[in-house]
Amino acid sequence: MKPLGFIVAAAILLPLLSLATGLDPWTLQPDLRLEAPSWAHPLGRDDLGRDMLARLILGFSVSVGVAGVSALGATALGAGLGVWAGTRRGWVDLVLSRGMELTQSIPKLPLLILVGSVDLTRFGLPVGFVTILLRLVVLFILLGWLTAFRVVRQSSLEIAARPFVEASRVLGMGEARLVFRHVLPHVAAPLRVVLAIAFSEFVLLESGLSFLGLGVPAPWPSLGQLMARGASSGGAALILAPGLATAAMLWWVGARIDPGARPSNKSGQMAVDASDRPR
Amino acid sequence: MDALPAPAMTDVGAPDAKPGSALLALLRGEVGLSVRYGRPVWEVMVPRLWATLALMGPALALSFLLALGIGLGSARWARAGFGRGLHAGLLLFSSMPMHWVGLVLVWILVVQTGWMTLGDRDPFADPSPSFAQRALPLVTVVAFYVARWGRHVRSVALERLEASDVRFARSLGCDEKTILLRFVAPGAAVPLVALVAQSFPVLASGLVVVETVFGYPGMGRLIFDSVVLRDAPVAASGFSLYAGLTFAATSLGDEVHRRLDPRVRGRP
Repeated sequence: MKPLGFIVAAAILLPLLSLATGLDPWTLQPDLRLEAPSWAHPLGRDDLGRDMLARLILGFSVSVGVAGVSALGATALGAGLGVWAGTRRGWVDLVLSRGMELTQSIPKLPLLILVGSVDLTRFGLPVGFVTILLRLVVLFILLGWLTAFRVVRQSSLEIAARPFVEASRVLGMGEARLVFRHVLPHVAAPLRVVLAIAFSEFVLLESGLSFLGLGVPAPWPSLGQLMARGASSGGAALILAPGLATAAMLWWVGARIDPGARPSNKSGQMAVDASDRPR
Repeated sequence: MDALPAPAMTDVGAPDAKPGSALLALLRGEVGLSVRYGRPVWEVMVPRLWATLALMGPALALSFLLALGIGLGSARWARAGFGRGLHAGLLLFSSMPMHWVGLVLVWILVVQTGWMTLGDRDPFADPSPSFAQRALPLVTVVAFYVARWGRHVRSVALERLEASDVRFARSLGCDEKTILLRFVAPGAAVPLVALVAQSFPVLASGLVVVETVFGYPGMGRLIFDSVVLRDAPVAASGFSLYAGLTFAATSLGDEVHRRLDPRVRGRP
């Protein structure tokens, strides 16, 4: 996915750029709180006097990081299990498919709220940026592998039954090599779409959780956390900027996923192109 | 909060209760007192449940119809400006977090212009939400679900518009309106039913973020608060209700899907 690559690159480069240009997302300046946008601070300052542009950039990176790592993890987990179920079949497929249906019936947000409000110190874990983010990522992965599993299982079931796979097996190709040589290349294209969808979903989910105060912890910004702060402070730029950034990013990803119109189907004319000719 | 007579029920958590009495009480539907409100759980929950259903029922129905209409329209005129515009709208609204849409609505209509008031009221003293408290969440939820479902309808409809039976009908001289309504719409509506059934538990148990933004006294907010404030009886009952709703909605959705879609009719 080209947009995802660009977004991740931006998430890495923009904070460095803002650091290099001297934008500081941390320093509190209470006497300058809610300062209106100016050339030096294009989005103004937030309710604690921190530069909003620097915080938006950092929050964007945090959100993209959480959603990106979760999407990669969930897609990899789902793809791995899907290949396993699709090529092994039998009881492996049975157990994993029922497991998928079980996970599917768990509503995401309430579970995340429940687990998000668990006090980590009870289990001897330090409460910090990293542990809370890790908890978020692990939960997202455990809840988000379903789409990848469904897609990959279906494709590998179909591909494993094709003659060339059977031929390879007869010629003595091992199961592992078979999977990497024949099955995975075939599911790569749909997997990219699954990855992009998972990324969008996780951005929205993280945004909702952080908005409720259960996501990314306080001094660190994220897109959802910035929305919540913007709402309580009431500044126009503080409310609009994080949402518009989210919308622009997900729009870009979404526009690449949705199917376009077939080229020759103008006002209901019968489509005539190469794929319509009898084979 | 006006004084209510002390609830005439056993406290199931009492240490002097007989063994098994908690289970018996549970079977009678007594799930204990809310720690936060000091009242029986159902007394706390039922008004919230009605408030949520009053909001989400219309939202669900409206979203279904609009998603079908807009999705079909954007597929039918996919190359024209009209269809592209509809698709852009669908993309835009599915890209914006629901709570942010709500925030902007509140910010514009309540804070900036003062056209509406949300009011900060005690859900027990006055359980009926104000007009803005009803209308704004409805608009927010509908916008999000129409966008999400509409994109799905659009992609199914685009596929259907090129399917061989539709092309055959077209070659026989069938006009586009009939094609859209007779061939494409049913094909797009059936998977949408399954999608709606999947979302029903989320909607019926209340959308926490939306209810938070608008201060709407619904189930989602109640469950969220009970988890955060460690109100265990309310949280446990809320989640159980949720589980039951999920089971019921998924089963119902499967059954409806089976009846509507001939391809899955024979399968168990």
